[in-house]
Amino acid sequence: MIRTIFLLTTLAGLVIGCKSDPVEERVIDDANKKLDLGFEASDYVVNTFYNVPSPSEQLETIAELDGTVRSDYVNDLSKSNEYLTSTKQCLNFGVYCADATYLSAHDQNNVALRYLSTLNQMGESIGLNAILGDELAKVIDGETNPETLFKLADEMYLRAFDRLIENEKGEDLGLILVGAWYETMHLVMNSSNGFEKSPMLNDYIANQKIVAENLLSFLMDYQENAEVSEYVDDLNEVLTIYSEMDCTYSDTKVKRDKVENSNRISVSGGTKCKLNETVFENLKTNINKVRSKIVD
Amino acid sequence: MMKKLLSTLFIVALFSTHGQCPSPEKFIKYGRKDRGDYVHNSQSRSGYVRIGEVFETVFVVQDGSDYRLTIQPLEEEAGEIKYEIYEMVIRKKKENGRYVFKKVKQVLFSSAEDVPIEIISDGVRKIYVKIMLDGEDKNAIECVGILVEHRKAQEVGF
Repeated sequence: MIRTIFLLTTLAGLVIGCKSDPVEERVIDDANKKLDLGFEASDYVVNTFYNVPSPSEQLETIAELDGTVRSDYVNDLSKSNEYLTSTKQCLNFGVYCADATYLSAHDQNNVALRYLSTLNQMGESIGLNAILGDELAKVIDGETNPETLFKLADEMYLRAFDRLIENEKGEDLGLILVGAWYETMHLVMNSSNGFEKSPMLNDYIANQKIVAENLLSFLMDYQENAEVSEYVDDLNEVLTIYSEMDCTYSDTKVKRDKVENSNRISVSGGTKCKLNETVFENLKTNINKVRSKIVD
Repeated sequence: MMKKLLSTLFIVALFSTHGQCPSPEKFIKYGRKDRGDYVHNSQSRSGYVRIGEVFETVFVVQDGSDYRLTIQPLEEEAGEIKYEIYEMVIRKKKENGRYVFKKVKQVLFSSAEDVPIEIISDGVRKIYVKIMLDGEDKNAIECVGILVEHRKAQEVGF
């Protein structure tokens, strides 16, 4: 009996349910102060670069989840001519990137192709001429399998990303990432059949908190730009909503292996967060509101 | 504070001169050959860094994907890459007689080997990679690439 109580007490200590982000303070674990490669806990990090997954990476598995395909929720292509400012063009370039990826992930190839063609034209207005070039023409001419459209949508995003980095257009890139993220969230949240009705999709939405955090950190470098700053505020609102999720914390376990030509680590455990109904509804309202501001 | 600001501006300026430092998939050998079923990921980075200075990149590993990370300088003789991969985790700690929850750093892997590292995760994670190019000439500035690739998860369970 005493042993059982001890075990239960120990387990309770390992897995504790509570709201996310219980503390703000970041401290260095004593056990890791001395590392074997010469890094010290006090080593000064001159800069930290935050990265955000591409729409294709985020939507790659969307078709395998338990939502309902809502291709009518993508942004109408006819609006593309109405975006006259650079800010609107960048934001909606990101929106259409996410739309093209979502449509191709659900085998809506003909529609996805129209989105890619529009993106290729829109790219010119933000200094990204002929992003896909011949590859798109070949698909239009039927020389390439339409199933390659998902890869082409990814390629579109990657090339735009690389060119904007090369051309030192961090603000434009930030706005594209914002448009892509809000559209991805809009599509995913509206694909959900509702709270507790699409548990896989809802887990996916809960996990987007980490992507939102990185996106916010990425934007912080460009927040002196008024348009970027506006979305810094919006993302802070999103993270405030996410902070009300129900989270559990357990030890992170790491298994290290040596495999052919590489090392491998398998990581499990750690923080796991779940949506509750309030968070789900507040997120949906907030995402739809900001997404409307972007596309309308 | 001023030192931090100047260092930050310096490194941002260096990373901004990206045209002279190619994107990582253009010079990291695993980006050109032996890629297998991994594809290029937009969370890759490259830029100029000063020998001996430490910088970080933070990327997101998604559910349902495996990741491969390769860190190399453009010029092989530029120096030795040292890196550690870590995560900020929640730990219960006793402070002043009571338990509190704190975010602490947990190192997942550290290496000075010039081989890729595969990361397989049971869920979405924010992964920090702390990198330093070690070498003799502390004034030298070199191009370093961090190539991130991903593929659909190959294994289930641990």
